[in-house]
Amino acid sequence: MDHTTLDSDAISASNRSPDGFAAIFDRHFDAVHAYLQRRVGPDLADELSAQTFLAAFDARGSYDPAQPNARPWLFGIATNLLRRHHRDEVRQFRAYARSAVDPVTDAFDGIEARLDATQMRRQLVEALADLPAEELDALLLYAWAEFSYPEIACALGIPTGTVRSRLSRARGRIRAALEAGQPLSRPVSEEEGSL
Amino acid sequence: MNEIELLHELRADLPEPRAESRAAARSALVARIEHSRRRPAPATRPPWRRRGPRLALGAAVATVAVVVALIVSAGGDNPPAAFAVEPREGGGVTIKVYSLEDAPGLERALEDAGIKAQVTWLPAGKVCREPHYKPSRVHLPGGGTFAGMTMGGPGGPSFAIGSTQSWRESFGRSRRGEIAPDEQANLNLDPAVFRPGQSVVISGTPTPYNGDPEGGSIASLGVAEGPVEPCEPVPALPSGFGGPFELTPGGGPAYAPHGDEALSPADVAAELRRAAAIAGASDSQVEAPPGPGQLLYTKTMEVHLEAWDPNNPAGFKTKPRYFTDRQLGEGNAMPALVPTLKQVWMAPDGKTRERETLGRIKFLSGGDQLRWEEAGSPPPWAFEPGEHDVDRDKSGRLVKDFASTAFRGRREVTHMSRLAELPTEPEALRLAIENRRTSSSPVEPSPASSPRGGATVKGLLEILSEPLASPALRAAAFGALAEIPGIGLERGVADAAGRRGDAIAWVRERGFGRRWIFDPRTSRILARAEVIFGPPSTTENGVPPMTVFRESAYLQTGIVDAANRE
Repeated sequence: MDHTTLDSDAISASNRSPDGFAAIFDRHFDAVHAYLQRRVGPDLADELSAQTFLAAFDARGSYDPAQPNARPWLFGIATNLLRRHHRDEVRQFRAYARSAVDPVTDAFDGIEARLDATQMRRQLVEALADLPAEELDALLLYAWAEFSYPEIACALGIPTGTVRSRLSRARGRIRAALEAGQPLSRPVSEEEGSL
Repeated sequence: MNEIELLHELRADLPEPRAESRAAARSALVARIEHSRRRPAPATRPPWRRRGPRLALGAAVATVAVVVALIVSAGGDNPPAAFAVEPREGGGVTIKVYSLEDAPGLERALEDAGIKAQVTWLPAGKVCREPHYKPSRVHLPGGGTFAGMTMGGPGGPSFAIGSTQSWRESFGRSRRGEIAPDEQANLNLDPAVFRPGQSVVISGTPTPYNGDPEGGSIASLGVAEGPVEPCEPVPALPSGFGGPFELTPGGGPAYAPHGDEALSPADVAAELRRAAAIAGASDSQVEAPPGPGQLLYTKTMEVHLEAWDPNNPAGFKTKPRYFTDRQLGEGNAMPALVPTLKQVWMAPDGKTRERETLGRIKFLSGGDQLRWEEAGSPPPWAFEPGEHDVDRDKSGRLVKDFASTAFRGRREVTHMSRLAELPTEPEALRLAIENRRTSSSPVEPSPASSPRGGATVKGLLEILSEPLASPALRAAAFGALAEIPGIGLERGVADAAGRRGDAIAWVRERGFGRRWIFDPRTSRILARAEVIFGPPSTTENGVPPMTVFRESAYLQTGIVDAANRE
């Protein structure tokens, strides 16, 4: 793997010679996949991570050359793709909270692996399921992708101040849910009632 | 611990992406790159225009822009509906089913698109009693005919309905990588090819997917000629694919151990420790994954419980003599065990050749056997000469030979190669299977009847069934089993090939269970079987207790040279 070229240079060069874009894949695929896998499970992660790089390649002409690291941009595309699966993700969170089994590792490769699901984890996951999609994206980019505030801003295409406020709201909701020992109260729509 | 630390912990222990997933994604990207070389480079625009609309630079680029827009900006926070009807470029619509609700709405949508339909969404574990319509067939836009199919997976099915011409265009574009694969529908139908009186019959039930008990669905589709009776729900045969067999029961013990009551827990543990010692001292079954020019050869005896109905008017086949797997316990269906000898030669790149030889079909009742023989011993559908490329071997048995470049094969080779990375110390192996870190404080094994314990037992037995598992790994797997409390052990159980051994067995929902037979002298796994141990499934399916529903008996494994495959 070639780490000496900046992502921005590799992407600019790929506008003239598209082959260079494969280097972007090699650098970032595992990170994108891991993030997607944690959010929607291995099967959908396979699909969405592949789509992320196809969409990124097609959109390479619009890459901001002032951003040396492409990871926030790629995670932004992945986040957009994830939005279509927000409902699946919420289901997965709820399934986890209900079953005390982690559906991501549980489904992996035929080996049924289990994680301890303490009461606290269950409440945490329940609370994640209740977060609005934009707050969830910001929170998980922060906690799971370990992005800085400016990187989250870049990925989500929002100002840094908005990142700050979304994160603070999300963390507040989660803390409240954990302290209350109860999932966040929220009107249950008919659709969720049937889950 | 604050919420961010908790989130970090939740993220831990994530497996690496599978090598084949990475490879598949990379080759999709490389294909897209190859394709792009034949068109102008995308316009580079200043960053402040990033979120603005794209400028079309000729037709090819405009197409790309549409695709990107589809992928990147689709979705959003629209309220989820049971299904969506989306117009297709070039005419027609795509109907995507998101959840198995609003069957009348879906019927109307299909009718609006030009297809008359009966849609029935059923609770899990149910199917429609057949027959409830006269089966027929229509031509498919891509060639061939469509008479019926069963499809399953995440979410619900999707249908593309439009002219054959529009299908051809969209197929071409998807081949060229211009349409994301998930924009393709499961089934393409052209309303123009339906005769008056023909309609589509759809039924489906939710199935577990990705940890969600109702995250997926299985749908059965058929084409009807003339009137369609309403669907009367009856219990489905637990068939693994779509059946409730794989369902994790809600409440109650997940795995009820099934074994000889005379054996105490200490006896069982002692037996398993003995098996570990024998496994550790044995030779490797297969030394290594196949190298270049070599093939992994496996020979198994597969036995499936099927049913034969001499008057069978049901299913999508109109011939009266097909076996069907939907009708056990219904009407005149006569249950029989259908054995197939399966030989597979698998290359390291996943290319496989398979040969299946039909064995002697054995009905559960002698009277049924006689009636079937009097009817001329018709073969099951999978070996029906009119439907498949079937030959006869020297002994007159029906044989099918086929080659595939199946993804499955590649995946299996990768999977087996990965066995070498597993720990060969019993507790470490168990923790690895349970995806726990070894560094954490010691964790006692969960009982075999619990969801975690049962899954661990199954995982360990799956490792023991792998031809490439080393003696040390096999010893560790038996050693780990010996530490798990509550395992059921049956003595003197015969496998499909008539070999006797001991079996680790458990019962899951509705009297269905599993049994793994091993030879106590060699510690080799002889066979794995799904068994109908008792009620209510025995009564539902009209079979005696202890009926094998599906079994694989492992007969032979080895590495062979590609040159002398036979």
